[in-house]
Amino acid sequence: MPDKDLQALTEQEYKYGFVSDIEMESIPAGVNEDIVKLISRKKGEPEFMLEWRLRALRHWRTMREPTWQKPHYPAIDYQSIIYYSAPKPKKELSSLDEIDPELRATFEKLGISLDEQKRIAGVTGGLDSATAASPAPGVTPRVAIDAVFDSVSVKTTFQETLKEQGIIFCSMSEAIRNHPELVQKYLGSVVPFTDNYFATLNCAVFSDGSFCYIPKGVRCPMELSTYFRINTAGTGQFERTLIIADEGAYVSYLEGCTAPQRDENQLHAAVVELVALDNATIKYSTVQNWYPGDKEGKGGIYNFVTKRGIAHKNARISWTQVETGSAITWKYPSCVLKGDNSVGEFYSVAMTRDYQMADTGTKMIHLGKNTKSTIVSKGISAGKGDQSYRGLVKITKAASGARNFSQCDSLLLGDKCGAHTFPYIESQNKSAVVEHEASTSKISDDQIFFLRQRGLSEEDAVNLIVNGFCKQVLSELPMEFAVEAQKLLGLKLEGAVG
Amino acid sequence: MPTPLLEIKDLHVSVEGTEILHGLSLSVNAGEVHAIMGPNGSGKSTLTKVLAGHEAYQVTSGSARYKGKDLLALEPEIRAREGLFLAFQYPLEIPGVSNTYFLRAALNAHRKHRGQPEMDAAKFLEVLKEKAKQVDVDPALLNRPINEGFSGGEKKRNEILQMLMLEPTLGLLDETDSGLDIDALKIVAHGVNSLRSKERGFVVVTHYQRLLDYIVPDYVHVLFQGRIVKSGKKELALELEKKGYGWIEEELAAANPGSVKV
Amino acid sequence: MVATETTTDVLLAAFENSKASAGPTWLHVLRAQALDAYREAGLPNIRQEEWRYTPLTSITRQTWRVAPPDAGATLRLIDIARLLPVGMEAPRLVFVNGRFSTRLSTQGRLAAGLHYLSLRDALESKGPSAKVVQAHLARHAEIESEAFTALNTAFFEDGAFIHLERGHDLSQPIQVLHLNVASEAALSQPRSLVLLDEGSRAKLIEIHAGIGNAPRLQNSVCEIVVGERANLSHLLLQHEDDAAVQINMHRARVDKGGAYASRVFSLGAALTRNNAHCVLNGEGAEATLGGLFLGRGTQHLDNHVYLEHAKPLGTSRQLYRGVLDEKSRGVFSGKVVVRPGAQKTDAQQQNNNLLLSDDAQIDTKPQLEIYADDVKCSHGATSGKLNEEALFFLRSRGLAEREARSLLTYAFCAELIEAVKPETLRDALAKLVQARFE
Repeated sequence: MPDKDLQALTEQEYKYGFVSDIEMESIPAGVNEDIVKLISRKKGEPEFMLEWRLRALRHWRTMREPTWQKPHYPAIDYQSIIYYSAPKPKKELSSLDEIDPELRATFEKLGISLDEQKRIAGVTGGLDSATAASPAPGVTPRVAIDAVFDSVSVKTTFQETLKEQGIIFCSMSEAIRNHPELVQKYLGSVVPFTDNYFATLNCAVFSDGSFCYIPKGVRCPMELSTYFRINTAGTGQFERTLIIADEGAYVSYLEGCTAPQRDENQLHAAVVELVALDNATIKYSTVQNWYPGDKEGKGGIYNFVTKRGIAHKNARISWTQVETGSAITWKYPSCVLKGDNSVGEFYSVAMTRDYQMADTGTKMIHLGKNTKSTIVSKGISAGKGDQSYRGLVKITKAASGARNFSQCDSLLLGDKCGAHTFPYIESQNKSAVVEHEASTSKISDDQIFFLRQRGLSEEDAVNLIVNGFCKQVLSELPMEFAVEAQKLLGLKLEGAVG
Repeated sequence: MPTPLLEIKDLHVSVEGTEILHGLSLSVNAGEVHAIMGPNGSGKSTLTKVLAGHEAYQVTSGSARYKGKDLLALEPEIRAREGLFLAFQYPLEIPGVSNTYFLRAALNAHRKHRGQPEMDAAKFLEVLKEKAKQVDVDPALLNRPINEGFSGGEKKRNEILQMLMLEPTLGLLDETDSGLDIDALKIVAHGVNSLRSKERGFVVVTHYQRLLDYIVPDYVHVLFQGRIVKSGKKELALELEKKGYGWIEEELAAANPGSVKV
Repeated sequence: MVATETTTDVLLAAFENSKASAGPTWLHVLRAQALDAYREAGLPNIRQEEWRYTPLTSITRQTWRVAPPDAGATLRLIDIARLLPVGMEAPRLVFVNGRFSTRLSTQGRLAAGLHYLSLRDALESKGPSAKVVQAHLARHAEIESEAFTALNTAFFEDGAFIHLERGHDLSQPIQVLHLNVASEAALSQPRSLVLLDEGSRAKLIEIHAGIGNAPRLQNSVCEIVVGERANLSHLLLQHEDDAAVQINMHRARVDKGGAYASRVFSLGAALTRNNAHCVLNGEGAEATLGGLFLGRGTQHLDNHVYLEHAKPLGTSRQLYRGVLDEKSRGVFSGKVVVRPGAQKTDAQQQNNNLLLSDDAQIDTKPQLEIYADDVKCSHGATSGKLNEEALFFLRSRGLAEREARSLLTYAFCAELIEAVKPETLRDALAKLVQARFE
């Protein structure tokens, strides 16, 4: 493929690298019992939370940072990270609901409106409000947003509307204060505080995140979403998301994120837990656009995240992710298919360019009978990007009739990049059927020639092919986010016709 | 004499260092249909690919002018937008890219090149459906990814559909008849014939005379070992069908190769 | 782990007393390095990624000794005959507990250009073979990353030396039989070299088998070089019994335009670990690697494949199939690595597994690691049971269920068997496999 197309694809500037000038209140750098106590006190948490945090911290001290992953990085100095940084409250604000205009402006600039009257332009920060496509007539898709700025949630929209149906959507801090019974029951029930190095650290120091509870039989009437923004230098973001869909409930949830352009690496170690009770469905979509670092590989976010859902009887958990940002992405959104007939899905597009690295995939743990899982992973590697699909499909002895299908494809753009596939399949049940397929190829010159022969420019031809390659995954995203994701991938908008 | 639509002079073309065309000359006027016949490996596909601008085919000497301009200097997409269309011998599959979307993008690229406004979605779909009917392409296929899961015949008809949509000035058909049954062949030929006009020219590359029963050529050329070794009217095709290519070889051997008229 | 320490010491003592210690200086240096490497690394364990599915308790729970020199002295030719799939016609080198048996071997009338003898004889020969051995022995198999190879390198006594000179084409397959015979826990460590010079062609049949009730551990290493445009077809049939543990390393290098085909049939042994390591080291080299592993009882069958495309235009095909019954456990781990610059690589890897019982288990890990862009690589892995529809179909045509199952199970294996040549060998293998499903 001609070099200039590669350049067009790989040399897009990062648009969200600005820093907001907001007065912040930060605690001293480092992690120890005092810091954990300080965070817990700042959040006004009940005793059980502090206890849990401290147990996590003690456990974390006994753990060693894992090294089995493909991307390697210079040692992280955990004592130099600021674990809590929040905008200083301004005295002149008249009500609790009011937001610092600077913060509001920051989110507006990212395309996120904290105003319920306005439709959001982009959860991923992908569009200016002016250029956002207007919604189809008669349909006003609304999205409730929890906006997280560094360590705290600054605003959650549509809380009242959702409350009418008994849906709780709020920041994790609020949930800990107002719904301790739900938090105590479910927090750590999917990802325990002993789980892994980064998740354990998160348990000790997490500062905020989103909480969502959908009551029995309720179909959440709007998309729920969290927008994460890292702003302050030297901080790490450790947020925690917990979504509980009670029996028969349905929710579609999306997270987006951006960060300023800096020469230093910043750590983002989040934990997401999903609980889908009997017959419930949770669709969780991520469009990840953290700052990837510059062309020489300097700076960027380390995105080390633990995401896991547990699906009870007949429940369905579906992870969809579009990973375009971060210097290193290292995560495996997983499903524990505990209940009979439960379903797990993982749809992923990851694009690495310049010096970006990604080691991502999923784990599907089949425990219940007739459980089903589907894995579709599409990796695009350009420039010096390097990425790995790593996945585990485990069929336990009890999981009779379990079924898995995995498809992992990689597309290589340029001869300096790498693409790797490491699936693990462990089957202990003879009635289970597991199928894994993977392929690696480059964009074919003949395909490009064909499209050019029909009059398309080289760049459009490449975009079209990449778009087609990802289509199966993008189609899993809620419509408006799919548009954003395509933009992010540097693709032309497809699907406007026909 | 008007400027020929396509004028090829002494064209030498190599693929990976091996010369395939050894000085081919051909002139096609607007309004004419030229058939190029020849045994396998004679360079037929090379000719169409090099005219469309495939990078793997290197022109080492000679010229090709299209509408009076140097065709070989143009990028493939500019050749396409200038009205040169190649119906591929082996249509490709492109996963995930819908036929409809792709064709609209292509058509609008042509229109933009000509300074015309983009065709709106509704109008486009209307035209597309009508043309699809003409070549018997199932409307359901239009929303499927390009050629994915299409039968051999469907792929070939899809090529002709693209041609009907883009309305080229010069159509190059590379063995469009191969692998088609007689009904499909008629449909394809009908599609091509519907585009025949004073302004347009066609170069039809084929192995068999059969296609020429339906797309009746004005001229027939025999391509052999990288050169056009014999030209004639449509009757030449019948003769080839009857006698095969052997006699041409004998004729060539008998004559002084240097004097073969091209 | 205490047990292995002891083993090392016992082996060291046995080695110092044996004839193997008398050898050229370069070999002594190699052995010393290997012993250091082994002492450094120790036996692998399941905390290591490459061994996560294969615990070595059956090795570590006892002390192993080298078999006494007279073991197998009473073996007769008839005992050998029933172990050889193509019979006594083809030439054979027979090794008993890793030691060459002149009495049981027959080198036949040597074809032109063929050197076919024991490694020790080659080393001690006055001819060119000694030099050839020195140029290749332990030059291909790594000792740092492979503890078992290090152990073998430190202590091997003998093995096969096969060297086919430039341009020669062997019409007849040649055989190597590794026979393990023990009356108490014994370790054998055969070490072989197979070298095909430019443009030569050969078919090699390697058989691993055993006799006796005592535990037998065989740790074999075979280094293979397929020269430019040479062609080696290599078949390994392992039909040991439950007393056996088999650790095999096949380390192959294929030069420009060469082709290496390897098929490994693992039918027996309590624990089997087959390592196939193949580097396509020249442009346009080809590898066809395959294996069939059939487990029953508490058998543990592990196939580890590493295939590296180091140069452009290489082609590789891998097909591994496992049939696991009763409480057996199968492991497949295959890695295809495409090095930077190895453009136009065409690599395919496939692993299919059939679980026949509720207690059987398969762990499979096909992997692609790709650093070049103009490549076509794919892999696939499946695990499942017999197709119920097909079973029903056969029964509706009048076959008994048992018969139908046996037929379908064999059909699952057939692709690997049918490709085997010559026909006599193919038919012998088909019989062995069919017998397992009846």
